[in-house]
Amino acid sequence: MSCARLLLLAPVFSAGLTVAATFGTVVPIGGHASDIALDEKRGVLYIANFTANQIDVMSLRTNTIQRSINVARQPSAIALSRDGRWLAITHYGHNEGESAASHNTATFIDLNENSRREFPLSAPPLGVAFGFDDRAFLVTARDFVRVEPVTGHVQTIAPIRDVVSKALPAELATFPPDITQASVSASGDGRFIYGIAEKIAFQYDVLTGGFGVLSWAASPDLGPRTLSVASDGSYYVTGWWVIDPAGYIKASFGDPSGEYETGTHAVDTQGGIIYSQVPKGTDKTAPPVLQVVAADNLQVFERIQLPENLTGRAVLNASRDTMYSASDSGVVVLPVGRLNAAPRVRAAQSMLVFRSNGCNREMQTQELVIDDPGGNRTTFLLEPKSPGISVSPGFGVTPAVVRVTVDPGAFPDRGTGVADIVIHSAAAVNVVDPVRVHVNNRTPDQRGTMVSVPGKLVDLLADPLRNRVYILRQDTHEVLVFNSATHRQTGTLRTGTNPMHMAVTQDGRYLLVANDRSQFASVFNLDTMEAERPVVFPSGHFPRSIGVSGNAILAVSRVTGGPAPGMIDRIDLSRRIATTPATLGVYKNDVSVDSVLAATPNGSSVLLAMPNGNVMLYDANKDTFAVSRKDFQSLSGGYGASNWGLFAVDNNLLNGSLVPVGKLENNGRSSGLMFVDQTGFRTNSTGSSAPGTISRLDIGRGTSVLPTSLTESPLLANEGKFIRTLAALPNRSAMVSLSTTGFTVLPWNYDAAFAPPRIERVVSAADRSDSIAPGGLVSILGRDLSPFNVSTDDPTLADALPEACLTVNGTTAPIIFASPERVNAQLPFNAGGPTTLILRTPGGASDSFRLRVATSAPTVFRSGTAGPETGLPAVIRAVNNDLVTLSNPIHPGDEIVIYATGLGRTNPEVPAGTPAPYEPLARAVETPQVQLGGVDLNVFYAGLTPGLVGVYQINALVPLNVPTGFDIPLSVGRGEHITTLNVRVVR
Amino acid sequence: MSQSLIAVVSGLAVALSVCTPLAAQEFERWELGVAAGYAFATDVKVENASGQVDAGLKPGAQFSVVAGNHVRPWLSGEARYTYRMNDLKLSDGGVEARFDGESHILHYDFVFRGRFRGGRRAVQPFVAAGAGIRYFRGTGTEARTQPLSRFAILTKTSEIRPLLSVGGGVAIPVSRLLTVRIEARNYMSPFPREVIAPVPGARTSGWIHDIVPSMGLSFTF
Repeated sequence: MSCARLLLLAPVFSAGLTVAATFGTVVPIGGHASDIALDEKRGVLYIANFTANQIDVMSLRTNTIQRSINVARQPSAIALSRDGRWLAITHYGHNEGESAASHNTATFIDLNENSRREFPLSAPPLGVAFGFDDRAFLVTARDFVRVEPVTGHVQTIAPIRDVVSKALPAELATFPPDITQASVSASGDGRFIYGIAEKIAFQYDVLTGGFGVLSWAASPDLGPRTLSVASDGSYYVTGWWVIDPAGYIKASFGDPSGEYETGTHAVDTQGGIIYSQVPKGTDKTAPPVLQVVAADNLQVFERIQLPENLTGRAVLNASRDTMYSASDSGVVVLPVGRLNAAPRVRAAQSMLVFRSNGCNREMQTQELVIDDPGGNRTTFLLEPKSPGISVSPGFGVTPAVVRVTVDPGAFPDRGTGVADIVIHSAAAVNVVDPVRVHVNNRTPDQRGTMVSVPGKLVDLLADPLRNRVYILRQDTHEVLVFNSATHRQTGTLRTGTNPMHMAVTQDGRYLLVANDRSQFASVFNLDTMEAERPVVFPSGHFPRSIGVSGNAILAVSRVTGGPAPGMIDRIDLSRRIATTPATLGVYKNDVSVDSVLAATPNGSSVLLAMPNGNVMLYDANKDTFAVSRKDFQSLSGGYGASNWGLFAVDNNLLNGSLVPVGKLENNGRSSGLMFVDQTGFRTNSTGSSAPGTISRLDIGRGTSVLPTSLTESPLLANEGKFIRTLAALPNRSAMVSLSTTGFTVLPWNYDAAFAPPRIERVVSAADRSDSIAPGGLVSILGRDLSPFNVSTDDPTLADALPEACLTVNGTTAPIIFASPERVNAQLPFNAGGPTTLILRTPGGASDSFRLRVATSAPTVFRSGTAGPETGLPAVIRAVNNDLVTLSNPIHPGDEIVIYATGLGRTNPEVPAGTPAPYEPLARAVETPQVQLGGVDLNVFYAGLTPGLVGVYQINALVPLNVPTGFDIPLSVGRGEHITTLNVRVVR
Repeated sequence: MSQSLIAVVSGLAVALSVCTPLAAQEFERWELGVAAGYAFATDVKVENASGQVDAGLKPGAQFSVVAGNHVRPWLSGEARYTYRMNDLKLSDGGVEARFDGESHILHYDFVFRGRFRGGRRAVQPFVAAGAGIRYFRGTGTEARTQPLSRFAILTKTSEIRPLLSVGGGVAIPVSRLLTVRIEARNYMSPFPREVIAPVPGARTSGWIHDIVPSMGLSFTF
């Protein structure tokens, strides 16, 4: 699309800021739909029109109402028999002032014979469903009955108590789910029938006749009042819960409004997903959204904008590609199987992180990919929410690559600033998440290497036995497993819904995860890295924090409908159940739901800290809570427990009896607290955009010492909450801090004093010769060049490695490796002639180092290895793409590829630190001469290697008349800058 | 061995093949035959300061065609082409480097025949000696590493070396025209230093003896 056309379309894109596309077709019925039943055999959908006293029949082909069947008053629920013969209709007849029995009826329409029969009911009906035996199961406010439609035989299966039905007439603007407050559904195989009514849920096994009723308490109330069952009956969704047949809550939706009349669910058992609308309680004005979530832990895969609220039962057709749901106007038809055909927009990266340093506050640019998951060409408009961020182009059509440029000067001088790029699209039907842009500015005195990890990170744990770090990512319900040496993610463990806290068992075999929106705590075998059978918590208990002692494994649970909002449960890991002790020693089992547990590393005790200032101590030897104190008005932030009878919460140090023994200075909010042997560490920060500090704890004096600035702030807990953000690797090589953009790795000696760097020599990184040219990779040799060893394979080297930064004639040079004795960097392409280098580290700035930079000075990498041999020239035979060695010699007629650096400027120019492009190739302005045994080779390419930084390659053809032998000189270069190496040539 | 030696040996073989028939006008028969056998070669030591390894040819099948001219009842001359499957090898204890290889051998031999009792169908013992050339080829796949490469490199290249041939056997007439030949030969050639290339600092000397028992069928007319 041309720029001119895009400019013309700009107003269209802008209009999209206020108008959102929606997915699905609304079919109005002129009344309120109370239930629907899908009859694919006849190609129709039956809609119970509660207020118009009719069954509207919608054509599945045209999505229009074909006809209406007049029925008795208030058709509240309908169901179709599995053989398609009978349509059962219940009529809600609880009218104030009338005989209850007079209008509570059920109608069975024989769709084959076009006849009907009615049955009186003893109480207001709540719902109806058919089992696999084609008998109808009716639930009334009084009993659960089975009806044989052919014979008219009615059998009471069980009485139902405690259901109070709502009387008519209803208040204005009351909808059917508010009146019936019930829903009944059968599993796809017709064996199980589940239902919900007022404060009970019930289930019936059609095969065995087993019937069970479950009472529950939920806050807010359990809405939407609809119910959808997995085809095999293994779970069902109702309100904001996913419940298994045993009545355990597998998962629950977060922040629900609890409204009865708004929302729905449809389970796609084969796809392992649930289509749901569960309105949020926090924003009742939010537009209606259909979520596509994982059935096991409700991880959100997609959010689709709806044309109107869904208001009752939803069903999927047999091919699972179309969903029908009762809605405000009647019915909404959602072709979910053709979602890819609907325009959507997303950003390939949810987060962009820009890093500058003490040498560089220049503008930085990264690419952002905007695409449509279905491959459609969808228009979009980008709106940066900070003046320090610009995007080009600002609008376009998917797929598109957008350049995002940030001005680090517009963000805090030290620490990480954040701003969003909002993605608008008038055409897209999905809810488009913004791209979060983080800009980190740092000075050399700020310590730590940042590792970007997107998502909402809430907990951190280092494996006590393995080379791993576990990070809990709450928004995707998973544990991210990182290799603690490479800082690379090596695995992902799916947790339950809304994981809050982790703990490793004392034997180091299992990782336990407390899931706040599930009655189950996840259990992972750390040897196999596989999920095992979870721990089941008591009814209404949702684990939020776990502490593992040498004796008991304790959990803080949020409790609904219990004696206290928060209680301590005790986990029996072998039986995978948790039980609730009646008391905590001599104390009541009544704790804050936001409490946190911290076990000492040796498992001798477990600290329990509460936001209201209470602290308790579980003694594993005595197997009881031995201490309970309240010396503080409030507590929040970090917490830690040591083996040496010392504990820390927030800014307070506590002794083995939890008596306060020290108050740490309050220089910001507490985040991380950690004890390693008898040494304590603490991180805190004044805000998420501030740099934050890490300091050691002087346990004797109760103060923190040697505060050191961090690269970016540790994660901060919300007010009144606790968080764990600091972990030590078991080999004491480093410590990890959960931080604003992911995590920050700190060397163990992060607070050591460093001498200023001293540059002694600058050589080619390829062969350590003095031949140096613009754009080439160089090795800076000297002393105290970096506090520790660190390297990056980040393809965009725009970010210098954090602990050192280098300027060349005042321009920042990207660093790719740093150690105390050597720093590898790429010279800028504008370097030339007399050149000055300055290296800055936490120890200060080096003296100016002067050197001469030639226009072109090729040097061949000596990075080849062949068995035990190392340092071999990087010359490759194209015929087998293998290194030239004595056993892989050059033959006349071969094409060889020589990898080198220092070929100088290129056309087109490539900014230093940027991978060379594939198209067009960046050819060296000055082509080097290549000779083999004195014979010129035909060089057909000399330039940067695509995808690499500062690495050039020379492709040449070997003529037939080259001499042969074991040591034939191969020379590259011109004039005084010629590099020569010996290779074997055979015929 | 130098190129001049190759030329001398080759020239001698060609001269003999031409001259011998001219000297035998009175008794003259011709022979065409094929043979197959399995060859075993002796190794040669390659050594350097760190030790020594065995270098040579792996055993392998060979196939040859022969054309002979019987100028006397007891003397004939024959030219023979032989294809020998001979992978290259270096070995040192349990370590072995191996590389696909082959040879093409062309030589001319004088054959001296005797006769056991039995008339025209009598078994004829014979001895043979001659010279020629051997074309060695390394045909394996090159890779950046090769075991024992500190001694020598098995190389994908080719070279021609002179060859001496001695051997003997028996010819068993099975009909008036057909003869079965069972024989054994020793093909001697200098070490092929290009296809089994000692690295700088390594040295080798000696000849390779390729012992080839074979059996063939000749058509004599």
